[in-house]
Amino acid sequence: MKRIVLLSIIALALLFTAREVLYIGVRKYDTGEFGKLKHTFIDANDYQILVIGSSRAESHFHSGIIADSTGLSVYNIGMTGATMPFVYTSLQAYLEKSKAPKYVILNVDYHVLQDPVDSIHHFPRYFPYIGENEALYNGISALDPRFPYFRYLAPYSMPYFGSRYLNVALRGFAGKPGRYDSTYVNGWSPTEQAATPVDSFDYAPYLSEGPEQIWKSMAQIDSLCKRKQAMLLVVLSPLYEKQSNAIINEKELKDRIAAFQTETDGLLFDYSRDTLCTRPEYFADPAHLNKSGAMVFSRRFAHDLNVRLAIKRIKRR
Amino acid sequence: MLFNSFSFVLFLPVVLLVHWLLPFRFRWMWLLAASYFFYGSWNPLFTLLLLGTTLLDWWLALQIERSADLKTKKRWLFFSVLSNIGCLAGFKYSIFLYNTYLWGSAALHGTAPAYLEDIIIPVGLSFYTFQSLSYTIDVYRGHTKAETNSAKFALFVSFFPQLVAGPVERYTHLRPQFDRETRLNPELIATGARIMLWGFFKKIVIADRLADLVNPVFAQPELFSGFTLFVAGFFFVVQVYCDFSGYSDIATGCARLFGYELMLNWKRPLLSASLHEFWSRNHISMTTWFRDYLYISLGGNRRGKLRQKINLFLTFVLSGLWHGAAWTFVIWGTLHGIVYLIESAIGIGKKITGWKRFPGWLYLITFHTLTLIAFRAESSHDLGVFYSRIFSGNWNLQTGWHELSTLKDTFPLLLGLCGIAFLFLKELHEEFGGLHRLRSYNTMLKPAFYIGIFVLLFVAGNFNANEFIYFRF
Repeated sequence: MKRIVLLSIIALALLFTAREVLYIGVRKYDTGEFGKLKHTFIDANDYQILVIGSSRAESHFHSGIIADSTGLSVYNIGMTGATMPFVYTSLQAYLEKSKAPKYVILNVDYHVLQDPVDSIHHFPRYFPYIGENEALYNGISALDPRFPYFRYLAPYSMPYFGSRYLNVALRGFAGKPGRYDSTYVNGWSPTEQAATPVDSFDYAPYLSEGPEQIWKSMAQIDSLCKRKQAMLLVVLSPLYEKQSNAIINEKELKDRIAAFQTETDGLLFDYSRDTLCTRPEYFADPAHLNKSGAMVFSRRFAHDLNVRLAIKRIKRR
Repeated sequence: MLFNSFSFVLFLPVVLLVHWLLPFRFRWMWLLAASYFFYGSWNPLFTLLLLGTTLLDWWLALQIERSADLKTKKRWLFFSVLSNIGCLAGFKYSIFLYNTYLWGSAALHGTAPAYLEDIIIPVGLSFYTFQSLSYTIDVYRGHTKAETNSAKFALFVSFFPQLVAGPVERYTHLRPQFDRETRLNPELIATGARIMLWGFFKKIVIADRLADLVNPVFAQPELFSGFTLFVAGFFFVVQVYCDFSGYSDIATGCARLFGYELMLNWKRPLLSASLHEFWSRNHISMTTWFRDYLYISLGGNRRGKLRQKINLFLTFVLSGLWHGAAWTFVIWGTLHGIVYLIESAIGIGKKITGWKRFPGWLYLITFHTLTLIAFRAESSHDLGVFYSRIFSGNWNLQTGWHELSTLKDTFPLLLGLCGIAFLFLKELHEEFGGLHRLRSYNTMLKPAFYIGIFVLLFVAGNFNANEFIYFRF
């Protein structure tokens, strides 16, 4: 029996070691999605503009174009599937290691305002970073109570993590980027074109209503920005026109977003009914611009940002 | 409750702990309760079906034993066959037969048939009905005495490690073990855990990883070249073997933890050098079931050579149909039946030795791959696409490799290939026992191997709790 116990202990110790080795490999990966996570949660950065939000933030705000146009350094930490509470957590986690930016761009849209708040999309991808960033660990544990177990119990976390990220870890050690990594530009990454044309989707009317926690998280983001003396810029980025038409309570939502913005010291940019929204060729799917759409939008947004900031500066004087 | 699910990880230790803490006379009752709970976790209503068929067969076996004349015995046995096969046919084959009728009638009238959708089949139905039926036939044949304790008979039918996907146990093998007290000892735990671990490895690391490569090809075969279709077929051969033998290993290891031994179900069939040898090593509990209860009941070899051949052929066709209610399964069984008879005619038997084993193995793997494609194809039309492309000779290796590596990515493909290589190395070692001769084999190599696969299970396993393929049967 002693032998069985001893061998079991050795097996478990090796499992914990294997997990650590995998995590080290993933953290070494510095391009693409995992490079972005490393940059966001581990590296010490000093960007002047930070884009936060869900997949629309990630795919609509081309960091390179905005940086060229404004002359400011830009990084996009928008993450696919991020709910508003997670957006707040990711901002906290970014600020744990990095300097506060001058401007924080928060992408708000009708989609993110109706998301449930009790799930973390692709949660295993955060495992390698929770031991390195306390703000991330605390924030994510508050959203998903399994995270303390994930952090300390290898047999519990590995089934979610193991093979899925084995490739990433091996590439991290070998320093070999993945096939799609080159699409990333300072955190921005385009959405892949859906096989179905945007006009062929079913646009049934719906109420865009989410839990109150979404608005609380937005208030927390605002208060964190104020504490860090970063100006919060709220942007309603484009959705395909037919998608916006399907939202029954569009006006109420807009009013509430406007009310939220007045409480911040920042600016509101509303592109939800922009002419871009009527152009199907610019959309990958009803809720995401494609690569060319994102480039057109980013140029327009950067231009508007320059103008609005200049006006704000003049007003202050 | 799947073996590869989180709920089973909680279920097994609790059942095991209580089992060994209980006095011996209560253990079988606890196992019976646990087995019904295990089965009920899929659909509680189906436990009533399990209970109903069990009690009916228990009572019918008693009637068979008590009957004085052969005619009455036969009548009771007929009821047992009718109830078990009727149950199986009702759930599994009624829609298939009705849809076949619709297809035939629509073909005659030149209209499009409106097929009925499949109904839910109680999980493990094909296994436990066969297990229960073998008991009544054994009682009829006088091979065993009828069970007087209905609850112990219910445990024989529902014993949870092998309830839903076999091995299809025989009453004379499993039932006496419930009365034999086994003491908990480290060897029992170590052996059980080792067998289970290798079963989990086969299922989670090899089978489920290959499933990611096999499924997209079988979903749209028209998109792929002949080479890719054949390779996907070979991947499926390995997948289905690892999936099913993995389940059997987990079941066997699990039963061993409780102190029980299940039948040997797999004996490295993918190393066979002929179809005869393959069927003596593959899914042994089911193959011997068909031999003992169908082939022999049809007359076996007792009624002349022609009749024996017909009996063999029928056994293969029906075993194909047992696997699933679709014409693709019938085609699979028919092809095996034909080639088995051809092998018999030209004198290829089970014992192929020396260098002849290699060409024999190549032939077997090629044949098994081609026929298992029929087993997996989603329709007769898809099967046609597979065969026409494979036999058209359009085998561009470069295109094939590109297609395979873009199914998911190159990495999952490499991982799948490593899994296959690992499986064959392990099986070759078991077959020829190369490392057994080393002095450090038991003290060092064996523990290191199992610790290694334990870690690999977590590092390279696909834990999406994929259902075992044979649950569908």
